[in-house]
Amino acid sequence: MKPASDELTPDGVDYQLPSREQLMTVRLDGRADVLILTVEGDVDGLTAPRLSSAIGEAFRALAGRTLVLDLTQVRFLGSVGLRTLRDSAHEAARHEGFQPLRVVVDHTRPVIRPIEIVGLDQILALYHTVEDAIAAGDLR
Amino acid sequence: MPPSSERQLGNEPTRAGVAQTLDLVLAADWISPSVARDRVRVWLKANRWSPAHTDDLVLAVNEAVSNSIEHGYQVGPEDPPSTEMVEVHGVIRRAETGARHVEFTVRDAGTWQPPSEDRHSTRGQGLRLMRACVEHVTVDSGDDGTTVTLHSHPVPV
Repeated sequence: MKPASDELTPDGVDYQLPSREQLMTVRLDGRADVLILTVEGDVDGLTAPRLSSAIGEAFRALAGRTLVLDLTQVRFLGSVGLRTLRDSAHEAARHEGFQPLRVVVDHTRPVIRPIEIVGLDQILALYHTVEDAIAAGDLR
Repeated sequence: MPPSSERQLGNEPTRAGVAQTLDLVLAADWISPSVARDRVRVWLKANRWSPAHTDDLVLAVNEAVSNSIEHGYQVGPEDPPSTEMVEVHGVIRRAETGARHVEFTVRDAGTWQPPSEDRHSTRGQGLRLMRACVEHVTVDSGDDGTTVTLHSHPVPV
């Protein structure tokens, strides 16, 4: 892993940078009928590839279950993260027989706002809670 | 807090000690957008920007800084640290009505790459996000680099 670089401030003060792992964490929770992938932190150009890998792993481990992506603890979502979500939505359609990707966003503005700006709310199934996402049943 | 009759127009502090300008010099490195986001967030909060407006500006600045790194300097996520820099400058201005807005400029010394034809390219999405988040975006490119200017929506007093 390459060393973190230092930000240069005009007054020469070093700034302690977060590591990639601190910036975003991903947790996978497998239940009988559903696989829940919980994301915390920032999804940007640096961290989105790791999210993409985790989602890929989740699809491989799905075994007929429903995938739910919990983004309620995400505090930043940029263009690269949006691309990851779009790609994941397409993959969900393939894996789950045209089921839309279920994403829990609650009222998390930093997540909802970029999703709506680029129109991803039209292809994702958005929910306030994980329970709502699980209870939704067949969305075809 | 001085009485309103004494308040001057321009860049005077709205609260003692709170900087009206923000200046960052960031390495062209993929951790730098997160540094820019944190600094912008803290600065806007100190200047009483609402959370909703702040989120939009943090997103816009993130996209501009990321574009400079990824497209201006073409630094990949696993590349070694670059000596190139991205400069972010923010300034808060107050209109006669009392409404404030903030202007960010994000400057790099890289090479402008035209956005790809793919409508869903992250580059195209980045510009689309910026335009949705601020009132006005200008992109000024030349041989010596690119400057993106983000002119925010006004916020009420």
